[in-house]
Amino acid sequence: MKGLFDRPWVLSLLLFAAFVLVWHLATGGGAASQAPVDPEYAKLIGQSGPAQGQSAMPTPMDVVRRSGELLSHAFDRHGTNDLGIGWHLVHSLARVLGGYAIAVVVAVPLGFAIGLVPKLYAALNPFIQVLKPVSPLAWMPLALYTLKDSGASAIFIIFICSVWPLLINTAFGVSAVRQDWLNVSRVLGLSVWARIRHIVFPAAVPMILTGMRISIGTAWFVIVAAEMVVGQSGIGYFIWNEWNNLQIASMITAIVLIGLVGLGLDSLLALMTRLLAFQE
Amino acid sequence: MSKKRNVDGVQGAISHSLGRCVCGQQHSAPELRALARGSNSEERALSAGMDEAVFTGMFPDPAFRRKFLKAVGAGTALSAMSAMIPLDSLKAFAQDTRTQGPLEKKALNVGFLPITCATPLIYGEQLGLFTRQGLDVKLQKVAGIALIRDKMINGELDFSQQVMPVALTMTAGLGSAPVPTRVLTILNQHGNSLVLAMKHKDNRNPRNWKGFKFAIPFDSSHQALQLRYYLAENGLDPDKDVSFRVVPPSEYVSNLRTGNVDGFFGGEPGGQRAVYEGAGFIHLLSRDIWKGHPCCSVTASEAFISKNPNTFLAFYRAIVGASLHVSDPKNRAGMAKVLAQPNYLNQPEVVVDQVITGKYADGLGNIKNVPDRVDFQPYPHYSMAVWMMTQMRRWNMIKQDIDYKKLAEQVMLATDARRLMGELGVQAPAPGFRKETILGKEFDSNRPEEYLKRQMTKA
Repeated sequence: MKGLFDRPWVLSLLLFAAFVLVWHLATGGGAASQAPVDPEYAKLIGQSGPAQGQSAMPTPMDVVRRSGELLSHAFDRHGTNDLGIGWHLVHSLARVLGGYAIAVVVAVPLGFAIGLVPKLYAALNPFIQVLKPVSPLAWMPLALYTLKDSGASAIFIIFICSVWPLLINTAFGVSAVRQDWLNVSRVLGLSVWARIRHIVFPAAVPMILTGMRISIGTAWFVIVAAEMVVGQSGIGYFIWNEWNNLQIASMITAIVLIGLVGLGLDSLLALMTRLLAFQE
Repeated sequence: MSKKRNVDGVQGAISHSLGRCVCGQQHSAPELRALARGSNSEERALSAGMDEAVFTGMFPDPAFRRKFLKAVGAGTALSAMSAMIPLDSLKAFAQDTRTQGPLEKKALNVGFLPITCATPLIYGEQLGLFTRQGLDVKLQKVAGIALIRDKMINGELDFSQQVMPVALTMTAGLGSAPVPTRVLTILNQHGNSLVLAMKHKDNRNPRNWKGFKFAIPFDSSHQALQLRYYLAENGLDPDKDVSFRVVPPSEYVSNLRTGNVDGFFGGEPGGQRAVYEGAGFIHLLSRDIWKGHPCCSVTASEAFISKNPNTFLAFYRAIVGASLHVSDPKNRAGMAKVLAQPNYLNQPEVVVDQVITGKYADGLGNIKNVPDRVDFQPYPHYSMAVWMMTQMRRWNMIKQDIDYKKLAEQVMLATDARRLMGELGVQAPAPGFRKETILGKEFDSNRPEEYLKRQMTKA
């Protein structure tokens, strides 16, 4: 029997099964509340027929059933306020990629500059340190007020939350290039431009990619919160809308999907890091 | 008016208007009669447009129709018909496409909150009234009152549902730079409830509610003002004895269940949903405090209106028509099913139905029957705005005395609403400052200062 239980995925599976079992026992066993006094009244409060009063937590089977429904209609459209869950994910991804792309375009060159010029770094550092810990959602009212557009505001929020890890990691990567290599370049008489291109940039790439990986994760979890506030669409809006209806099974489905998409984004950047990283 | 357009318009209009009379009065049909007088043959007189459609519907057998006409004459037939069917309002629907000029803007973004107050907006879409005005309206579900305000200011929304006091404070620039806003119609009367957590089911006397925490949708919303009035009338000081928390309607039930709040005063179906979930019971309906009180309104900014006058009028006409349609109890059947859809309120149908029909479970084991639990009369009375402002002044949400009546006249488009209702055959009162009765006490909107003085000195 040796071997089977040594594999980590078997343990994962067992843990998951145990979790589902506990969940099932915790939600399924609940006896029906007081016997309905009057059948007509019972109907009005949803305690007759198959819909046995909405319990607070759905069972695992409820969630599986609901996920099936949602995923089989993932790309349906029933009017402006009733899109399939697939559309919501697409809208969220579009916002995240938009804000994230702007952040990369801004933060990587800026990070390069401050990494190369220590004086500039010192001058900008106080601002970075003050702005970095501000919760991105705190910018929301200000963004709405100045940008005058909720879609643009959401993209701005993504930008502002992904810009800091990128900026700091890039600057760090650039400033931490091994002194030996820079000395060699001097000995070889390379121009400044050639030095940046052939030595500093390749050396900084792993740190830049690390920054990008941290940023995409942050961006993905911020978008959910942002869309719950201003959304007209997106997975955060979906959760808000289902919360309105206390449809917890839908919310759990959405949470799992958010996790999976987040994992996908992270793996994508991990792959990029492996492909592009400089091998010493 | 061309006969062809008449026919087109009527067939659509009949499908949803037949079998009801908007105002309950007997209508005359002057245009129809003129038509009858001016033609040679009585049969041909009736062949014009809607008359034939209606007449044929009433007497399907052509031979009988001719005999009938010969016997009584077209004029008599027409007036008999118009006594039974509201031809005037049918005609008004038929004339919907008539506007003063070309529409400045056809694609409109219109905001709504997922509560029953939004019913006229939803039915404007459902009945195709917006489309008939040549408008391409996109209804947007918005997450809250503050967000609607922001989206109205930045122009993302052209028209929107909004609690009426916000239109007043925005116009007066109380708390921000002034953004003149107009109230086109009141979306609904009633349709709110005061819900308490189950643990308070034996504590129904508000005098014992010291220390209670209440959830409200917005600080200066009519819900908050009504709740404050109710508490003050029962000897509590709303500023000291209880606390209020602004909570989006989606979170009422979970807050109630976890005991974060003792109760909430909000728009339906929030209250009914709390009952459905077993989290609370309905202590009272908002109509028990003030019968006929205004709830949400349809608003547009002054800037939008002056830039797009024809679009404004077209939308206005559609929303008045939709309001009149949904306020008629005869049209309420099946309404809950439409409203409950995920695209709109996203609630169980049985919950919405209890609000719309007024036959509901109160959460304490009783079935109540209150047919006017929610109504949708569009006319924006000045008195409603004046009362809201006196209360905002009373609780110091407005820091200085203002000209309440002038602001009401400025914001509430009573004259326009009256004219458009008149087009649909509904007689609205002339704009004026009427008296209201709130918790059995008279409020004379013509003398807001006196009323306020009485309240402020008593407190």
